[in-house]
Amino acid sequence: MLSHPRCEEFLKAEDAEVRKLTQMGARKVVKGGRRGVPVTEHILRSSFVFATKRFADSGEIEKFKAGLVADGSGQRDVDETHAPTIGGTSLRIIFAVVAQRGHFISKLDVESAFLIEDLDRPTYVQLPKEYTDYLGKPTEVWELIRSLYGLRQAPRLCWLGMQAALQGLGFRSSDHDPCLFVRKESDGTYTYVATHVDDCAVVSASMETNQEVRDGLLLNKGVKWEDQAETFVGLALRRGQNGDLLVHQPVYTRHVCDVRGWRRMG
Amino acid sequence: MTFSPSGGALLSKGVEREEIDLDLVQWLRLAVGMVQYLTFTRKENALAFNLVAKNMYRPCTKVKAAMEQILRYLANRPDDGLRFKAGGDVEMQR
Repeated sequence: MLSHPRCEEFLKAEDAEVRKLTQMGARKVVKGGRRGVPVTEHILRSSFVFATKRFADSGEIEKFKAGLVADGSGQRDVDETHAPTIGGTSLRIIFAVVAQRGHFISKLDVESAFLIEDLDRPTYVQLPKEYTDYLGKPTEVWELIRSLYGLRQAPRLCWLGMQAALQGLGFRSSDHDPCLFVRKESDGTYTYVATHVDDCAVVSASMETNQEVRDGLLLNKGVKWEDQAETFVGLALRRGQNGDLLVHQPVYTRHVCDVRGWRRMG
Repeated sequence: MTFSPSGGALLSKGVEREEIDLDLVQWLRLAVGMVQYLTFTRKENALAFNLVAKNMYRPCTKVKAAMEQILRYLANRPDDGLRFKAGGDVEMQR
């Protein structure tokens, strides 16, 4: 069993995760457990990943989290797993455009991005034995309908979904970076979207255009949104009074410098 | 500063390398990995970091000393970054 002193909290989190996947319609329970799966299909193992979220100020535990992950290394039939992320140069060019043209930069974060895309082939997953044993249930096998963390094609499905959604809004990938999406507006200005897995930076000449992009992506997904992006992929963005844009990494820099004392050096 | 593939200003060819303990090598690898991402906004640090990184094939006391110096520099100015001027210029600044 779990050895954590507050393991009941994690068990509760496990239940919440299973309930969430059920509510999302992400899976079907296979009748008859392992025997209900066609003999030609592989059954993937799975496990729960546990994490705690702490309050930034006090360090007290705020939330216990449990996530179900499939063991993608058992998948034999996946050939396309490529999923690009935004290049550093593209990102800096975007920041330069924001500063020079006085554009607005907003941030969009797709919630549980890896779980919303439909799977392209039947995939079977067996729940962790420890979990079903604890519940006193026989082995439970799921047929996945939607993508799950750990599957080899999960990042690619996420990327394809994002690409399709943005193309539906009239965006086109840049020739230089597949993750930089560009759209020309009727007034001659350009709108840019930089995607980094589930994070997007939206840049355009007016806040209304930014919000229109948000609403366009909202149609099929839950998103978190910031009108004025303060961070993007770990970079802190600070807008000066005069329109300057400062891009820096103050928290990460301090973290890196702390490592200096991590091992006493001569 | 001259720039040469052998390690430039940090180590010139033929200089004796004083090897260091494995746990220090591991610390160095960790530090190199972490500082690499920092060069995204710390362009003034890019050359110094590059010299350390390219000497990681055989770490020695000099590489370690250089890494410490980089970290000391960063710790002194943790809020610096790239400032994109509203007019269109970019500068390294806080």
